[in-house]
This record gives sequence, structure tokens and C-alpha cells, in this order.
Amino acid sequence: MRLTNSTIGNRVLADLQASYTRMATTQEQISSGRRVNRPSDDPVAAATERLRNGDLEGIRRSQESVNTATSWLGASETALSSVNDVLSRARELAVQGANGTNNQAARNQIADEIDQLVKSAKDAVNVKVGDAYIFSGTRSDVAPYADATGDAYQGDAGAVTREAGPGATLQLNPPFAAVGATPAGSTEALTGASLLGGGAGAADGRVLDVLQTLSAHLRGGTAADITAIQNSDLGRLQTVQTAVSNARGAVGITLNRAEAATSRLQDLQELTTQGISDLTGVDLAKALTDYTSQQSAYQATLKVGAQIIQPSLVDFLR
Amino acid sequence: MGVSTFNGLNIALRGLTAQQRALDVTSHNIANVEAPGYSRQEAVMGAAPTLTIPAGANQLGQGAQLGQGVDVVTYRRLRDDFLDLQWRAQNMSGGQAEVGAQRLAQVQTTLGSGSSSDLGAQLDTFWSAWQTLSSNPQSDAAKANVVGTAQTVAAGFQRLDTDLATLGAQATTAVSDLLGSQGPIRPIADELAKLNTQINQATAAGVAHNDLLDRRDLLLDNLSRYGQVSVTPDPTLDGSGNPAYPGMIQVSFGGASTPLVSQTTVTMPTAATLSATPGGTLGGLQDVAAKIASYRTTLNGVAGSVIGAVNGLSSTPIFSGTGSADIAVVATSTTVSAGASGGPAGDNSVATAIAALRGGTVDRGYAGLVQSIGADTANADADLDTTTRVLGSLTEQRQSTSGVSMDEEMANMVRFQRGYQAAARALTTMDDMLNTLINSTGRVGL
Repeated sequence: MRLTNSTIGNRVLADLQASYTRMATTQEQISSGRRVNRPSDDPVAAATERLRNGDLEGIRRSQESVNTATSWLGASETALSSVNDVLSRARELAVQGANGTNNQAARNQIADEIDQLVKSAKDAVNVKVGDAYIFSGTRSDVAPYADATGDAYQGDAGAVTREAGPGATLQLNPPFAAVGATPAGSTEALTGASLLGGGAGAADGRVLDVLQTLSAHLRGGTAADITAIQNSDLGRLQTVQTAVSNARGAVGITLNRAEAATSRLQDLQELTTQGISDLTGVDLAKALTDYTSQQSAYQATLKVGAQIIQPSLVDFLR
Repeated sequence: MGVSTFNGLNIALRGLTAQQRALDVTSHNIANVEAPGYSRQEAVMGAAPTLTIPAGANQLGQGAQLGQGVDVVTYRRLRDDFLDLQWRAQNMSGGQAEVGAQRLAQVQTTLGSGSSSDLGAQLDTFWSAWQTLSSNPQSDAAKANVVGTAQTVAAGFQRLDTDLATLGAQATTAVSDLLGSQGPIRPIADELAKLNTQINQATAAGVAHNDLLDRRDLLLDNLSRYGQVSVTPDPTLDGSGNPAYPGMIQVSFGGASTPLVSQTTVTMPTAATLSATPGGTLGGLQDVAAKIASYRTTLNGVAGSVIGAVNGLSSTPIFSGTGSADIAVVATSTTVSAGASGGPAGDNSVATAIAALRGGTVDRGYAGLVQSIGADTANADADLDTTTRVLGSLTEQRQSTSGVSMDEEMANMVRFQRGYQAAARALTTMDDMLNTLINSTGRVGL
């Protein structure tokens, strides 16, 4: 092939250009730390990264959701513990009241304290996390029990669920074996109603009913009342205490699941982050090596170009 | 009839003149070494018509042909027409790829990948707002956040749609600008028409017109960047079936049925008269406009599925509109509800369901758009790279035929200089002989 001055000039220029472009690409990768700086660098990776970024964002939110769930379950646990304390105290008082040697004044005094315990139990389940009443089912904007409505439960029996990562949910008012759940042996979501019930009027055998019946028997003070305390009320207290213990168990299990979800989400977050980095991140060692060799190639091209272009026959003719 | 005594002087003179012309051509080549489109020329020398020595004049020379020295037969332009065709075809592809790569890179920039204006990231934030609402179904702040992010998403769709529409319109406008009277094609066509006349006249007069041909080829080279160029000799014939206008060409451009240049007439094509695949910059612009239209259709589909899916799940409509051009937010923080209409305050079924749309049809649709824009841009870049390489190699091949090599010209210069010196020496010798003949002959005894 016949080579001319402009051919060689153009070649050197094109090679310099190509060499410089390669260097610029590697430089961009090193400075941004990313192999894919725009979709055209690797369209499939860019599209996949877009979806994985969405996943990552979802995982972060799920972690927040699980955190909320954990504090909610912690508050439930505290409330149940208070109710349990109430019931233990009520049991002591019932044993005391069942003793026939008490006079009526003493029994009234015990009944007064039982009435206070009823209030305590209601206060315990009227607890809020943030702006939500946690024992009102899904009617979380109203307190389970209000002074104006007495023993009537104000919430509903709805399940409160929170998502805890892809495909996982947590029920914040977990189902437990409530007293008198129908059919027998079934469970109800943990709400004011399934735990404390509707009071003596509802005769549902739950905390409020049991305590109020006990109080009524103490105030009645007849031999039949005393017998009822001994034969029935103590047993019923035992039953509701078991139910509260069941509820604490259910909450505990849910808390464990929340913890498991947290660690699973952390793993998932690390995996996804790693996946995104593998997909679009730059292998720095390789990029730096490439850059060094590109740089020396560029310098060599410059040197050779400078030497090749200069001499021609013109320089040697006189 | 004998041979003139001064015949030798004449031969030497022809030699001098021919070497001089050849040196002129060398000088012309050197002068034009960097002139774009210049084809190297050479003075083709040939023996001058011989002198036939008539019968009987000399018994040995009967019917003999006596050489009469050298003539410059023609000034040849070294050029390969076949390479020209290939080069122009590749230049056309290069124009198409270049405009595709440039404009699609702009399209890609409008996606704003990795920045807060990335619609995909805005959708992420929108789903997150619902996820937060599902954790806090009563929270007014969470509801306000849903509305805020919905507005960002709606604005994001509209912005991207507007940006794409603008880029599409710019591509279409660029086509008519190129073809317009102020565009770059018109002056090329006008000059080609003018050259038709000049080259025709020069051809008819038998005058050398290599530099006019170079100019014409350069114009055709430049024209081929903008679209498909095909060149045929002017088809008009005279009465005896020969070309009526020798040297004239007819130039068809962009697949339009009417030639761009025919004799001295210029007919500019319009966007409507171009063929569906005009090639070159024009074809590239049309491709880009078509691609942008299809991106907008995809984007419109994604917007439609956001509107449909979110409104379908929500108890009160969140978005109004049907696509990316008219998507707007109708919900306010008081109408947004985490649960079913009229349901309890803690019901988060709707928010959970909408949050679960993350990673679904909408996100995949948008990721698909990102992927197709990225792939198209990458393809255009690769095309540009390939055509640039091929064009470079064809340019080298053309240069190898037509390019001026300094070394070669220098060598030629030495050659012609020596030729000139030798011819001058022949002349001197001849002169010396004649001197002997004229001044010294017959002077015996003087």
C-alpha cells in the first residue's frame, strides 16, 4: 500500500484519539467507582440496577416497619404484664376476702381496691404507641375503654398487620387462646375485648367480668357470696390469668419473629447492596491496572507520532 | 524530403518543455498536499508523433519513423471511482450513526439516571411513602408524604414526556432545517449545478479540468454525509446518440424521485419526498424521531399502569389522567386513606397493597424503557465506532491512490530536474555541432 504523509498523520491522530478515549473511560470509572455510568454502558445492568435499587429501598422501609412493630409489641408486652400484676393482686385480695373472719367493712375495703384494679386494667390496655391505641384492633384511633362508655369495648376485632419484608407479615395483635373463645379452643386477636371483655354485664368470663363479679360478691357479703368467691371466682381468676399468660406468649413469639425478620432484612440488604455493586461497580484493581497500561500506550503513541511525522525527503535534499 | 538540420533542437526543446510541465505538476501536487479532496496528478508523457521518412530519401531509411521527442499526452488525475462509491456509502452510514449517537445520548441524559430527577427513583420514593403509611395508617404526615411523592411522580412523568417530545420535535425540525434554503445541502447542490456547466464547457473545449472534478467529488463526499447520493452521467443524448452534455452529472439524493441536481436545475427534496430510508444525517434524524416516539409510547404505558394500578387499589382516586402527558394528582392529604373507604382508622390494607406494587409492572416497565434507551444508545455508539473505523480505512485506501506523498514528489522533482538538465545538455551538444558546422566548416585557407 502506498502511504502518504496525510495517511500517517491521520493514523497517528486516530490512534491518539482512540487511546485518549479509552483513558477517559477508565478515568471516569475510577473516579465514579462505577462501571456503568449511564444506561448505554451496560443496558441490562442499568435496568437490573434500577429494579434492585427499588428492592433496596423497599427493604429499608420494611426495616422501619419492623422497628415500629417491635416497639408496638414491646408496649403490648408491658401492658399485659400490668394486667397480670392486676390479676395477681386481685387473687391475693380474693383469697383474703374469701376468709369468713372478715367483717363487711373489711370486705368493702377489699372490693374498693378491686374496683381500682378494674380501672388499672383498663388504663393498661388504653396504651398508645405514637398516635395509635394498640388494643383497639384496627380502630386504632379510639381508646379501647372510655369513661363515658363504661365497660363497653370501643375498638374492633380486626387484625393489625405490618409487612416485614418480601412476603412476610407480622400480626401486631397476635391471636391467642382467649377465655370463652368460640368455638372452644379457637383463638382471637389480642384486643381489649378478647383480653378484658365487656364487664359483668357481658358475663363473658374475661378480666373485667371476673373482677367486677368478685367485687360484687365482696360487697354482697352473704354466705352464698363468700362461697361463690371460694368456689367460682378464684377459679375464674386462675382462668383469666392463664389467658393473659397465653397472650404474653403470643406477643413473645411475634417479637421473636420480628427479630428474625430484622436480621433477615439486614442480610437481604447486604446481599442486595453487594449485588448492585457487583453489577455496576468497578473492579478498582483492574481499572487502575488498565489505566496504567493505557497511559503508557498513550505516551508511546505520542512519542512515536512526534518522531514519525517530522522527517521526509525534503529534509535530506539540498 | 529530408530531415531538417534543426530537428534535433526541436526534440531537445520538447524534452525541456515536457520536463518543465512535469515539474509544474509536481509543484501543484506539493502545493495542494493539505487541500481537502485533492487528487494527486501526474503529467503523462508519451513520444511525440514520429516523422515518417519518405521512400527513396535514404535507402536505409525507407518508411522509417524518426522519433520527434516527447509530449505531455495528458495530465492524469489519480483517483479510484470504485473507492469513491464505497467511501460515500460508508460516510452516509457514518452520518446516520453519528446523529443517532449524539441525539440518543441526549435522550439518555433526560432519564437522569442516578440523580433525583430519575423517574425510577421517584417511583421508589412513591412506593416507600405507601409503605410508611401502611406502618402508620393514621399518620397525617405519612398521608401528606403520599400526596407529595405522588405529585413528584406525576411531574416526573410529565417532565420526561415533555423532554422526549422536545427532543423528537428537534429531530424533525433538524430534518427540515437541513433541507431548507438556509441548510447546508442547498449550497452544495447549487455549486454542483454550476460545476456541471463549467465541466461541460471544459470537456467540450478539451481543456484540463482535474481540479473542477476534484471539487465536484469533494462536494459529493460532503453531500453523502447528509443522505444517500447516487450519481449518473446526464442521460440527455444528442441526435447521433452521444451524450448531449458530456461531463455533466445527475445527482439523486435521499431516495427522492426528482434528482437533486439535473444539468443546471436544483430541486430540493422535502421531508415528504425523501424515501423512507434516506440514509445519512437525515436518515439518522428520522430514526431518532421514530425511536423517541416509541419511547414516549412506552412511557405513556408505564404512566397508564401507575394510574390504573394505584387508582384501582385506592379507596379514593390518587391520580387523574390516562398517560404520561396528562397524569396529575387529585388526592389531598385528607382524601388519602391507608385502608378501605369508611373502614377503621388502623386499616392499612390499601397502603400495603399499593406498597406491594413495588417491583411490579410499573417498575419493570420503566426499567425496560431505561434498558431500551440504553441499548439503542449503545448500538448507535457501536455503529459510529464501526463506521468511523471503516471510513478511516477507506480514507487510507483513497489516500493511497490519490494522496500526495512528499517523498514521492521530491523524488519526482529530482527526476524531472535531471531530465531537464539532460535535455538542456542535448541542446548544448546540438548547438555545439551546429557551431562547428556554421562557423568552422569551409574555412580552409582562411
